[in-house]
Amino acid sequence: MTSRVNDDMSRKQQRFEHLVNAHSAWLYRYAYWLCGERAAAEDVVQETYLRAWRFLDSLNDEASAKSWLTTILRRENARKYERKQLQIVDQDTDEIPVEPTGFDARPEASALRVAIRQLPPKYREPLVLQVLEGYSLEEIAQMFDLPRNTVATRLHRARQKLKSSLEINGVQRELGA
Amino acid sequence: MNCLEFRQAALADPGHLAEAAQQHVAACRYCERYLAEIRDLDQQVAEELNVAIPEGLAARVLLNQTFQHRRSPGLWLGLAAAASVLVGVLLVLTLDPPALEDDVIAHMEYQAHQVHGTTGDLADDYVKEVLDVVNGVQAGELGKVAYASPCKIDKQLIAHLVVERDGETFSLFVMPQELKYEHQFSTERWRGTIAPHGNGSLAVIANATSSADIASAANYFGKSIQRHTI
Repeated sequence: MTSRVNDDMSRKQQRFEHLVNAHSAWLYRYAYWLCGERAAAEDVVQETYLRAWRFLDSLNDEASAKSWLTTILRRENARKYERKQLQIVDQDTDEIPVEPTGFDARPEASALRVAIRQLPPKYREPLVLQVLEGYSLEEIAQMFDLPRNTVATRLHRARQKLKSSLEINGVQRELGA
Repeated sequence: MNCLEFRQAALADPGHLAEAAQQHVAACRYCERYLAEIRDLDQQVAEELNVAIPEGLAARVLLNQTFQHRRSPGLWLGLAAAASVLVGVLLVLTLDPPALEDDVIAHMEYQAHQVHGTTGDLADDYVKEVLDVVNGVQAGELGKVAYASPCKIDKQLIAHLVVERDGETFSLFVMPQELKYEHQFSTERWRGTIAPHGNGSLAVIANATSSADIASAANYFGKSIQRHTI
């Protein structure tokens, strides 16, 4: 009986470590685009995993672990940082620090990143899920508890805004160049 | 499908076009170029979204979890004591198999003792969320709920609460395991009762040195927590 309890704890720890190693990178990126800053993103990821540990026994299907963690992260972020909106609309875009993912001095890279950050959260969130992780419209709709058409409309508007921002900035990348 | 409808679909999900959209773009070179622009935009967006991960993030997450749930130095001593105590101190009153009782006591000795002394007052919606895991619902006042978490006993999900009431601390396990009759038990560190509760069972546990009236507490908590019939 005691060894069974030991085994249960060991299995739980192994499951948890797998979840961290498999999904912490994605969760951080998603948190970064929700919060807008690195320290806050890591805080949210930490809180997400603490909550996941406490409720790990309720995760029955490992295949849905990423969606489960993503949902926890969204709720943790809403709880902690809902009042701290990323305010850059009124800020001079020249003053916004652009953190490089790699060396990319192209003018359009900075303009696009600013444009992404300026998207309202309700447009930015589904865009991140779809473009970065390949979530389908149906999966995003389920995660957000929204009709599929609403999600489609938000993605449509997100891309329209980004496309317009790039065109306004006079940056066009030649196809095939 | 006309060009406007196609462009709306492309802006919503350029990577997964429905059959009608695919047929349209195959026949319309303007929309074909438009789709290429949108897909190119997505590629640029993906590059921007792909921010660098802080070095050591996974290790810090694991360290934080270990720190939050660090085992007490006395745990191994406690386990050894529990093993010897269990040999001769259980009081079995019915023909129900003692396995559930053993598991409840082992869970207290192994894990639950770390949180039995927790103080605080959790938000109602959090307690509700934990009880919901076992189809439980709070039907009356519990007292101050200092701790609430789902756990597993014998591979089944239970709701584990630590409740402070009338100056006494109780660990409650709301369990799906069925029981026919009430069991009372007493060990060196704990005393408590496990009783049928809805279509499952409810364990109410206090410190062995507590002066709490376990039977009265069990009756009270049994009414304060109800279970939905599955």
